[in-house]
Amino acid sequence: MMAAKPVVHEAINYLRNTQQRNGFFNAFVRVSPEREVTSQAMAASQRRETGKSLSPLDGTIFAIKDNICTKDMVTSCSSLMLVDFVPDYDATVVAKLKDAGAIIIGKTNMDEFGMGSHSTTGIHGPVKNPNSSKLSVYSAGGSSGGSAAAVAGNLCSGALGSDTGGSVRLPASYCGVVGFKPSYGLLSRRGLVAYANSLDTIGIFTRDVRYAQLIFDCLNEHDPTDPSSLDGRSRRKIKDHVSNQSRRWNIGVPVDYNVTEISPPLKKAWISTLAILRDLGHNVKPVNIPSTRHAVSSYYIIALAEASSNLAKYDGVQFGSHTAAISRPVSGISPSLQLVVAARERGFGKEVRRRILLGNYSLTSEAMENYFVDAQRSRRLIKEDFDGIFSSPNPLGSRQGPSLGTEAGVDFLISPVSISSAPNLEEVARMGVTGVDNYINDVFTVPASMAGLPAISVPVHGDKDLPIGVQVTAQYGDEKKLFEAATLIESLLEVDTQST
Amino acid sequence: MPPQIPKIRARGPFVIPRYSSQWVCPSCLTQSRKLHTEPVKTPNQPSTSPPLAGRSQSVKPTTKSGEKENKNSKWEVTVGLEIHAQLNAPRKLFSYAATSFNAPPNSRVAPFDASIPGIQPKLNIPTIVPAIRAAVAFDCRINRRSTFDRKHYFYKDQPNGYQITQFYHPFASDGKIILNELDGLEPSEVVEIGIKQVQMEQDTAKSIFQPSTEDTPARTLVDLNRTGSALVEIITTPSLKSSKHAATCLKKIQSILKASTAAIDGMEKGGVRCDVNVSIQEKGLPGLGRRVEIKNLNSVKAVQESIEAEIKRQIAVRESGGEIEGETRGWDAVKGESKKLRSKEGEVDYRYKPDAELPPLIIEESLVNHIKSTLPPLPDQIISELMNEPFALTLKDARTMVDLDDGARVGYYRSIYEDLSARQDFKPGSKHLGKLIGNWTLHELGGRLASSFITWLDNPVTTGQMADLLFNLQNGTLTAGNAKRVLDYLVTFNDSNIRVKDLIEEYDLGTRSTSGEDDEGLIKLANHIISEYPEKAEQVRSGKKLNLKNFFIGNLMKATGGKVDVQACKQVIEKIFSA
Repeated sequence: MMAAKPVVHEAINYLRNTQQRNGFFNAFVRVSPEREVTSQAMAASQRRETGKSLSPLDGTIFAIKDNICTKDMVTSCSSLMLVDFVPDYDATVVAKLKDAGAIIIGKTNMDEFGMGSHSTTGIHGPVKNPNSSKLSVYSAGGSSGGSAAAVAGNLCSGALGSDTGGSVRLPASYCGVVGFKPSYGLLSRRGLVAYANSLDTIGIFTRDVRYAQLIFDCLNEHDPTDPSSLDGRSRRKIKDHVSNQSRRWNIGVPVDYNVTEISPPLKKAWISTLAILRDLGHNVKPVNIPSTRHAVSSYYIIALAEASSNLAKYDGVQFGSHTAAISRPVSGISPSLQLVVAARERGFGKEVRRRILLGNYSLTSEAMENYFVDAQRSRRLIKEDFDGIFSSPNPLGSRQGPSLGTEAGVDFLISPVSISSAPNLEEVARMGVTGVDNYINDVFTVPASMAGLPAISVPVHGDKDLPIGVQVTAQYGDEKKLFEAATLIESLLEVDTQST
Repeated sequence: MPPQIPKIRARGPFVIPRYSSQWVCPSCLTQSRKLHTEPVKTPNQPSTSPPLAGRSQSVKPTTKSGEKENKNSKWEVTVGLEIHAQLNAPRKLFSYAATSFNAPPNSRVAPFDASIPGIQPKLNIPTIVPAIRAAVAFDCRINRRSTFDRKHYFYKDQPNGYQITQFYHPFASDGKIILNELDGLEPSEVVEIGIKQVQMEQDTAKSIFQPSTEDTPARTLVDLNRTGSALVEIITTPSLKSSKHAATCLKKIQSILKASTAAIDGMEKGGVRCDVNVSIQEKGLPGLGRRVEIKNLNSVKAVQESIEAEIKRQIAVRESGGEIEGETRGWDAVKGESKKLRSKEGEVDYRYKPDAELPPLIIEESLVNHIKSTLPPLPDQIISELMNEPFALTLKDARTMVDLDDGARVGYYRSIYEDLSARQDFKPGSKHLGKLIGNWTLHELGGRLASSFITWLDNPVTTGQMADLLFNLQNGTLTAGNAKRVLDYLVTFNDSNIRVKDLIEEYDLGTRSTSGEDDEGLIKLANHIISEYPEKAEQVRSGKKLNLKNFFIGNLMKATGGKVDVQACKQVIEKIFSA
C-alpha cells in the first residue's frame, strides 16, 4: 500500500540509496531516523491526496549542510569544536522548508567551518564525488561537497549549502548538479554558523534549475532577526528594477577570467556554450572587469579577517573542551589564556587554524591599513566594475546615474566555475601540502561573492566521465534573468546529450 | 588615526525615526528607571570594595598638600578619564533580554548574549535614547551616522571573543564639561574639560570565583545576565591637571549622567567604572609624557588616590633618572598602591574591525532636538536656581540637596515650598521661607532620618505633613521645640495618614496664647518658680550673676510644657527682676 504512494515511495528510495551509497560518498554525517522520515512522508502524502498540500515542496526530501542549525540535531560544521553542539532552534531557512512540508533526511559533510575547496578538511573525512569510479576517486568540491554529492548521488531531491566564495558553485560543478548562490541579503542567514559574514550566503543544490527556483521562492523573504536580511523596502526596490525579459540577450564574457590555468576541456565547454548561444541569436560580447585580478587576494584577506573574528567565540569556555591538558605551555600569557590556546589548538583543524592566524594578522594595528583596509577598497572597486558592465543598474547601488542600458551593457555574464573538472582526491592531498595552490580555483567564483551578486552553476558537457559547470552571474537582485539564462543553458545540455 | 573604512554595503541603515512617544518619552524611561532602582546589592560585589564615594563626599584634605607640592614641583601632571556607564535601558543593546541587577544568574540571557552559533545581533534602538541624552548633556556633537566595530580579546567574561563598540565612528564627539565653584573648586577656578567622544558598547559577563570546597575544585563561574547590556564609554581629553580635578570631574560626570536619566546606578552599585591615564612632563616642555593607564577603578576615592600615588611614583622614577614605561596598572584599594599588569609591548592588540553585519546607525536631527528640549535640568542649573530667590539656599545646602539620593530632596523641598506658598491663610512669619524649608528638610528631617538609619527612599514624612508642620510653626501655633517633637513623632510612627493638626490637639502642643509681659498666669507661674530658688534670685537681683536669668527662663518654659514662646518667658522674667 505504501509503495503505491509516490511521495512515500520517493522517500523510501532516498533512504535506501543513502543506506547503500553513503558509506562510500560520505555525503551525510548524520541521517534522520528512518521511521521519522517515512512517517512524515506518509503525512505529506495524505495531505496531497486530500488536496491540502502545504506547498509544492510538501513531502520532498532535503539534505542540510552541517553548518546550518537544525533543532535537536547536532550541527558540527565538521569541527571537533562543535561535535556536541545541538541547537535548540532551526535556522530560518530550515524552518521555512519544514513549514513548506519538506523532510530533512540528514546533515551533510563539509570542510571544517566551510574552509576548503574539496570537503576534505573536516573531522568526518573527505566527501567522494558520486561520479568517481573504482579506479579513481574524485573530489566533490567544497566546502558544501556533502550537499552536492547527496543531490548528485540521488540521496535526496534538494539540499542546502552555504557559499562564501564559491562553496556551492564549485561542488555543483564538480558533481554535475545545479548550484545556486543568491544575492547577498535575500536568504536569511539566521542559523548559518558564520564563517565570513559579509560574504556568507545560503545556497541551493538541485538536479534542475526549475526546482532550484522553486526552493528559492520558498525561502526568499525578509527575516527581521538577521540584520543583513534585506527589508521590504529594499525588496520592492529590487522588484521595480528588474528588467523585462528580452528576446535577445547581451551576454558578457569576462576576458579577465581567461586565465592560463584553465584546462583545455573546460575552456572548450565554455566556448561551445557561448557559440551555441550566439547561434541562437544572442549577442556575445567581451567585457573587462580589471578589478577581478585582485579579487582572490582581497577575498582571502576579508574572509579570513572575518573568520578570525567570528570564530573567536570558540575558546574552550562554552565550546570546545575546557579540560584539555596544556600540551605546549606558551610563555608570557596568563593561565586562563593558556587554556584558550589549548582548547583552540585541540578543537580546530590545521586549515582553520592557519586561516584564523592569517586573518588575525591582517587585523593587527601594524597590518590593518595595508591589508584589511586595502582589501575593502578593492572590494568596492569590484562592485563598481560590475555595476559598470550590466545593462541594469544596481538597485541598491549608491551610483544613481543612468545605467549603460540594453545596448551598451550586458544582461549577465557566462564563465567557468572552476579551472578544471573535479580533481582526483590524491591530487588534492598532494596540493594540500603547498596550500596556496588550492586558492586558484576560486578565481571565477569569488568576484560574485565580493560584489554580493547572484550566480549559478549549471552542468554542461562532461570532460570524459566528469561533469563541468558553467556559471551565470547577474546584476544584484536580478535572480529572474539569472534563472531564465540558466534554464536556457540547461536545455542546451539536453539537446547536446540527445544528439550524441 | 583610525583608518578610513570604505562603505562596502549597500544595505539600508538603521534609521531612528522622528520622535514618537512610544520610546523616547517618559513612559519608557520611567519603566526602565523602575527596573534599575531595586534597592539591592550585587551578590558578588567584592567585599574589599572601598566605601562608596558619592559626589557629596568632600574632597579629601590630603589633596591640598598634594596640590601645593605639585605647584612647587617642576612637573606638570596630565590626566584623562575613560568612564563606562550602564545605560538606563530596559533591554540589552543587541538582544531582547531584559537588563537586570539582581536576577538569578543566567536568567536574563538571549541566545545572542550566550554567543550561540548562527545567532546575530539586532540593535535595540530604544537603548540609544538614554545614550543621546548623556551626550547632549555633555554638550557633544551628535554624529548623524555612526558605526559599530568589534574589539577582540579572549576572556571568560566575553563569550563572543569580542565586544561590539564604536571605535572608528562614535555616535557623539567633541563635548565638554565645566568644573567651577559649584563643584567645590576655589571661587576663582573655572576648568573646562573636553569630552573627546561618547560611544555605545556592550557590557561583559560577570565572573565569580569560587574557592575549592570538599566536593568541588576551585573554579570560576560565569553569569551572563550583564552580557551585552548597553554601556556608554565617555572619553575625556587628557586635560585634567590634578587628582582633585580628576575626582571632581568624575563626580560631575556621574551627577550629569544621573540628572539626564542616562544612567541610574552610580559607582557604588557598579553601574559606573573608570580607567585613568596619567602622565607627567617637565614644565615648559611641549607635548605629554608617556602615559600610564590604571584600569578598573570603582570609586571616586580610588580614582583620586591612585592618581596621586601614580604621580608620586612617576616623579620618583623621573627624578632618579629613570624613564616612564608605557604600561597598564591595577589599583589595590586596600594596600593603597598600584601594580603593573602589563607593559606596552605585552599590550593586547584588539584588532578593531568594523562589524560586517550591523548597518550604520543614523540619528536624525529631529530626535536630537527633541531630546535637547526635554532634557531634565542639570545639577549646575538646579543648584543655581536653589541659591537664588525665592529659595536662597547656601551653596553648601543647595549642593547637598542635589547630591544626596540622586537629588530626590530637591523635589521634596519644592513640593513643600509650592504647597505653603499656595495656602491663602499662610503667614510668612519672620523667617525666610526658602531657608526655613531648606533647614527643616536637610537638617531637622535629614538628621532624624540619619540617626534612625532610615534611607531617604523610606522617608516616612510626606510633603503634606511637612508643610502642615511648618505652617503651624510659622503662624505661631507650634513653638520650635514642639514642632521638633511633632517631627519626631512623624518619623517614628511612619504613617502618612497622621495629620499634624490632630497631633497638636491630641498632645495639646498648641502655643498658649500669651499677652507677653502682662500675662497674669505666666507672671504667677514665674513668681512661683523664683520663690523656689531664693538664693539664685538674690544673686540676680544683686547683679552678681545676671546670666542666672536664663536659668529661670528655662524653668519657666519647662513649667509651661514648652507651649509658651521663649520671648514671652524672657519678657516676664525680665519684668519681674526689673520691678
